[in-house]
Amino acid sequence: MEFDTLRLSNFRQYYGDQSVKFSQDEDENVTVIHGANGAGKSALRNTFLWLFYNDVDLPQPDHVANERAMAEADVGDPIRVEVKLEFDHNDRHYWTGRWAEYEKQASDDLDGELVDEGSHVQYMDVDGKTVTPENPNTSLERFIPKRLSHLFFFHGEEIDQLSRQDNQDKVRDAIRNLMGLEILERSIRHLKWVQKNAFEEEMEEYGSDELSEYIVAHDEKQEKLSSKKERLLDLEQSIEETEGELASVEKRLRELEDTRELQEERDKLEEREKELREEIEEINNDVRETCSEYGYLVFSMPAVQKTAEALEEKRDKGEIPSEIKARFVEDRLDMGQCICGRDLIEETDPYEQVKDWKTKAGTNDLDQAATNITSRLRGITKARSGLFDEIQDDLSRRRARLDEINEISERLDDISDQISGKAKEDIQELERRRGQMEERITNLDQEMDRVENEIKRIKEQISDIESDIEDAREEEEKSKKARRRFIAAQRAREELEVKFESYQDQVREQVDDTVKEIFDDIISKNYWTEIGEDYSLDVYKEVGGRNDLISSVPTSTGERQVASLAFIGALTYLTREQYRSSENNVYFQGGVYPLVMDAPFGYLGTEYQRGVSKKIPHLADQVVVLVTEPQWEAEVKHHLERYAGKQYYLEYHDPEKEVDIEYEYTEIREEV
Amino acid sequence: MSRNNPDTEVEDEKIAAVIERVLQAEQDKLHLKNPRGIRKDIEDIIREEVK
Repeated sequence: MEFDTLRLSNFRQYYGDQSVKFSQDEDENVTVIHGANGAGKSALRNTFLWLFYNDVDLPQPDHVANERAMAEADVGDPIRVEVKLEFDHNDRHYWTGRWAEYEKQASDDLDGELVDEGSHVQYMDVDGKTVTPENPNTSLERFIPKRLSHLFFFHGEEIDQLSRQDNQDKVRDAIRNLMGLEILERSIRHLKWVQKNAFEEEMEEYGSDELSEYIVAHDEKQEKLSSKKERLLDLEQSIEETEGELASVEKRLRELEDTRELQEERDKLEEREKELREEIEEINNDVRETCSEYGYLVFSMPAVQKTAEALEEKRDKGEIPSEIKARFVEDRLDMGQCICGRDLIEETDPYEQVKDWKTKAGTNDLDQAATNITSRLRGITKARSGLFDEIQDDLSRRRARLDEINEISERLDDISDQISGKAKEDIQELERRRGQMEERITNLDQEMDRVENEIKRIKEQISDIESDIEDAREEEEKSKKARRRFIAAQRAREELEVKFESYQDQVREQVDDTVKEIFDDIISKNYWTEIGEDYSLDVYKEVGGRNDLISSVPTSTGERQVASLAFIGALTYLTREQYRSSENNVYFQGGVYPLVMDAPFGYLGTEYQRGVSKKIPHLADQVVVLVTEPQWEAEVKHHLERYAGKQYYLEYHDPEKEVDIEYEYTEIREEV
Repeated sequence: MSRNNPDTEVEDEKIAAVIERVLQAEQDKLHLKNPRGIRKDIEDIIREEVK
């Protein structure tokens, strides 16, 4: 940072618009601002504090508006207080400013009421482009951290406090902040927090054994599914095979259906044949029985014939009565009608003829015997004739049946020819098989339905598990990611811790060496400084061969002031060197800082004033020294004036000494 | 280089990038006594670098 121009308006005792153009000359890098006690040196130093931090390190810190301006304003008028600073920083040219507007509340109101305030920052980058940051307050604070402001905008009469043992915190803070240790320290602390509170919790939140459990369950279900699918294939194959068999049986059945009628006919014919053969057997039996019973008629006929002829002969000879009984003839004659129906009238020829038979009629006994024999012979003859008829009839019937059997045999032959070549399978057996197959197919279908339902259910379960697995994988992935981030935070922290451990010793030694060197340049006596392990800035003096710590000795304020100055100088030197080096170090980038020294020679004796004044131009690239006239004498003026590129005088107007003014104010006048 | 488990291994380059970005984030808020939001910034940096 290199100051260009400071402009202030109505700030504290600076009435109206005032400005300071700082020296930017490399060889005359000191801007000296002279001012008597009370003239406004501290107020001028506070313009920087107000601008950068909206803070004032003065009595009545809220009283920033100039009293004269307030007095001259009417009630209700706004009074604008403003500080503007133009400077260069990190290759950019900045225009910064802070303003506050006060409103006069009463005629005797010299403080006013704050009605508005603001700040602004604008810069031009290396390309000439103007940029206005959105948050000017933050930007203003970033140039020089507020907690380090006491190093760069210091009051000489207070600076010795740095080397007091109770102020080691400030020393440590300054070293750590400016030398990069604080960045390392904060990084370590924050990484540790993030590691634990962000990623460790996340690991715990997402880490679980569910995934492995789901995978085991998934494998089991897949195995079950495979088994069911195999079963389903078996069933499909079985059904296919059974259906094939069924089709085959049905085909056979269809084929057999064609022969059904023939078979039925054959069955009937065979049955008929069987009946006929039984009938024939019966006929044969009848014939045998007839022959057995009446066969003698056939063999007795000649004898019967001969007997009949003999009887006839006898009758003809009248040896045996006629066949007609006399009584019968008399009855016929009495009736007047012949057995042939002709009327028998007496004295007619028929009558006489029949009457003639009356004489021919035998006696009753012989006639009866002859008649009986003749009748028996006739009966035998008739029986013989009947026997033949009966046998003939039986034979005819048997012949008829044999003929029918022959016809049946021919038909059976024909049927046999028709169904020959076709398997003589049992339709019922085929039907039974078909029924079995259909039942089997039904059962297989039902089992297929069950298996398919099971497969569907298992698939749904697998789908659910896969969804769970996906969720669990996501969870695990998150857990792994959290784990990796946890490890990243841990490793980053560990690396920074290692770096911090070595670097902090290095920094302390580096600062210690530089402070010693600057201190030695100013005080060549047997004093020396040391940055302690606890970051205390101590001043030692060798007394009688032993080291006495004198930093806490009240009478040694001068040495402590010089030690503090050397410490500030060491930090500005080291940060500047780092900034200008080619080393790319994120945590220690360094920087160029100007020094604004208010009364740097306050408690110093002549010897120390000389040493300090000789060293001041070399402590920083740009130095602003606010001094009283008594301090700007002799050694100080001698050694500093040649480095003073700009000098200003604070012209203080005191109403007690100037009758025409009512309120004090200061004007800044450049000394040419 | 890093932990044995390949699932949770973090490359050195990523660690270096995390460190550099964390330091820069701290640098940006170094002027603040209480750098609000820096933890979230660091968490985000790690989340971005380690995906």
